[in-house]
Amino acid sequence: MVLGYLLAVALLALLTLWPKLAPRPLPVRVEALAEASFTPPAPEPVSLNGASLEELEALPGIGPTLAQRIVEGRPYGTVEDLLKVKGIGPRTLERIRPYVRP
Amino acid sequence: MKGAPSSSGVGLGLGGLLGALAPLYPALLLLAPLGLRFGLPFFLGLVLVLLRGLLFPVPEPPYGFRVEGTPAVREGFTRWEGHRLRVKHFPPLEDGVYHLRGYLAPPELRRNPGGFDERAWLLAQGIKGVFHVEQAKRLSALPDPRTSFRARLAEGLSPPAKEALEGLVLGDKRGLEDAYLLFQKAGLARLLAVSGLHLGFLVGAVLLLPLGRWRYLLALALLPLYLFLAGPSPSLVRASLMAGLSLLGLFLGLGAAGVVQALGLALFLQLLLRPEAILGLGLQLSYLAVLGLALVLPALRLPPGLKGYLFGGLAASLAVQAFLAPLLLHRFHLLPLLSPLANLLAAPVVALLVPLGFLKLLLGGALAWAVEPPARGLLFLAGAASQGPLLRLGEISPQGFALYYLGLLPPLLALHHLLPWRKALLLASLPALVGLATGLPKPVDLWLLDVGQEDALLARMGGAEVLVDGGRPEQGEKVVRALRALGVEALEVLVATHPGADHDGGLLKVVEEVPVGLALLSPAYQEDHPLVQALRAKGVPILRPGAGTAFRVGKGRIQVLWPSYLSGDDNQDGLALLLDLGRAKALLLADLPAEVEEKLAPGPVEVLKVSHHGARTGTSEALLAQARPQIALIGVGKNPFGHPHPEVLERLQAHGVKVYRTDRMGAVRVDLGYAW
Repeated sequence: MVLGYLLAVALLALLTLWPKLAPRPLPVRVEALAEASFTPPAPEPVSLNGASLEELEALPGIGPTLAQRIVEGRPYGTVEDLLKVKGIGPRTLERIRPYVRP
Repeated sequence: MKGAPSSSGVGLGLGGLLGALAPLYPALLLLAPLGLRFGLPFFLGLVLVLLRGLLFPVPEPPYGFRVEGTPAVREGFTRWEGHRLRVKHFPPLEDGVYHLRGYLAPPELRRNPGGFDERAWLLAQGIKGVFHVEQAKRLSALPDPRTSFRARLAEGLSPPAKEALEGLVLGDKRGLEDAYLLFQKAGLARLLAVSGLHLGFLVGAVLLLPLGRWRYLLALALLPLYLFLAGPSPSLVRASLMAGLSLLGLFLGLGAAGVVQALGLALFLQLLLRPEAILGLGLQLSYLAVLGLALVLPALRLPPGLKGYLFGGLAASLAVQAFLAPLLLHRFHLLPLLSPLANLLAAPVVALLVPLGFLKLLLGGALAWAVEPPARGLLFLAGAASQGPLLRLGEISPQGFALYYLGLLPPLLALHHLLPWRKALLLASLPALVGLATGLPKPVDLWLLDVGQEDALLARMGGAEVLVDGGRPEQGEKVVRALRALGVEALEVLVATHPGADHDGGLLKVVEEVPVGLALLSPAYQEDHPLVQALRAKGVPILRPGAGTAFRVGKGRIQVLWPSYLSGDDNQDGLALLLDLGRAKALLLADLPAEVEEKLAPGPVEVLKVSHHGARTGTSEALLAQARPQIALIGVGKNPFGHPHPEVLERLQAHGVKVYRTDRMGAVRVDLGYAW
């Protein structure tokens, strides 16, 4: 029994000390804690005709004023109709295009 | 159980334990032959729990799936198509029925040393999915049948006493907040997890009633009531199972089950129900504490009377402490040394408060006068004992755990007269010596911590630690926890490369919690900056070095490469550091722009901490050609600036540099071996 105990201690000593003492050929090793494997799904497009003010404000580049104007400019047949809204140019349209639908 | 060999409960429990752990660490199955001693029950437990885990694993919900529905949310959890899910929303949703829209995601892994491992925490509760809520509309409240009990418990009490009582009687720590930290530092936190201690005091109070053998049945009936009121925490389930077995035995006239037997049987049942529960901290602490009590107390011969009570109480606290110490240190990185004393003093108060509190759940305000003073007394005790000395230690490796419990074994055997004391101490000293020896080689490495769109880099230079920047103020807690988990008790040097909340905000918390030897600040820091004031208040010497300054730190060297002159722009006046760690050199560029990079002459380095989270203003061609790094570290999180910039990533790739970024990988460690 005592022999088994001594063996267990010796084995654990080897396991803990070996990686600290062993000479390693590679000078530098990098490890990362959490490798990300999950990307959240793309947000659902917001309906230009049905969305609330809050939902419109959450779009990139859209503040309270533009959101209000989008609501006032309803209805929209296509996403391109947004260009009619004052303050929304082609650049803004391209930014929010993935996030909206008519 | 009649006629079965006397160790069948223990065998079942140990087998179940191995069966629960084997799917996580298959190598442990090598230990199975050790169970031969326990014969059939051991293998029965092993096979049953193993099969339970393998045949009916926790189902995995479809990650990435969009969900819309009107579920009930209770204590932050909900159900969806048979899956239990954690609901994530900011701010947290109160209990109620909601219209929810969002998507399913896997739980997060630990992103920093000492960080929160959401996956293990949820898996222990049989949950594998997180519901990220994008839109929530509250439809109706969810009636909690326990509300009226809670109201009666709180009736007539002052707020602090009410919160302490809620924690003590129901295990509800939500109201305590700061006071909980005091309980933790006093070593009294286990009083706030409802467990065998509480059940023991409650059942003990009932058993004092003169009802003959029917009092056992009355106590038995209290168990499900308590489970309903306090919720099925692992420790309470464990205690209820054990108490139930013993009380049933007493009622039927079979005698109480042996504590170790009942403990083994309860563990087997709990693991058969859900093998993953073994990952839960509450379960681990609960079983280890009772194991400590059950193995130590029966072997003691206590003197009669008050002396015996005091001695027994102290021995019980010490036994629990001895069995829990490595686990507490591993998880909380602190161990209150006065804990046995504090627990001894708290025991009579708790023995009074638990039955009283339980009565108050039923009777309400009429008992307020009797409950208020002892509750106040307990809070005072926690406050006083929290000032006591603390033992601090970082995370412990599995080998470390094994060594500790191996070291505990011979004294335990000696206590039961199975081994002479002298031999036992000699044997126990061996694992202790090995443990000390493994602490001698000091790690040499770089940790770029994941603190979001910010920088925090820890360099361990063989016995001396250097922290460069500390993220935003709200990240300070994370940085301190990482330091504690890595076993960093004090910082040799603390560096703040330039004023800016994203680099020095978290350092305020670090300065408050961790002793610092020397602070290196960018010359751009004014005397009225909060960080400077905090450092002055702690009496830390401050240096504002310029290019050319160099120090020896631990087994390495720090060289300051910039600023050579001041421009007045905070980013441009930041500190550029060259760390020589013996086996490798690392160039840390803070938020410096390309104009500065061109003026540095770092020479070849192995590791580059990319400037400004990978903005296109830095990491110029000229710098890469000069420094020729192999590894680039980027501290970056979700941000609206498009960091790291694709141009920077392309330049790094063209030079054959391997890129590690904290937003994709969590904390990144560059391992450079050990130094003596």
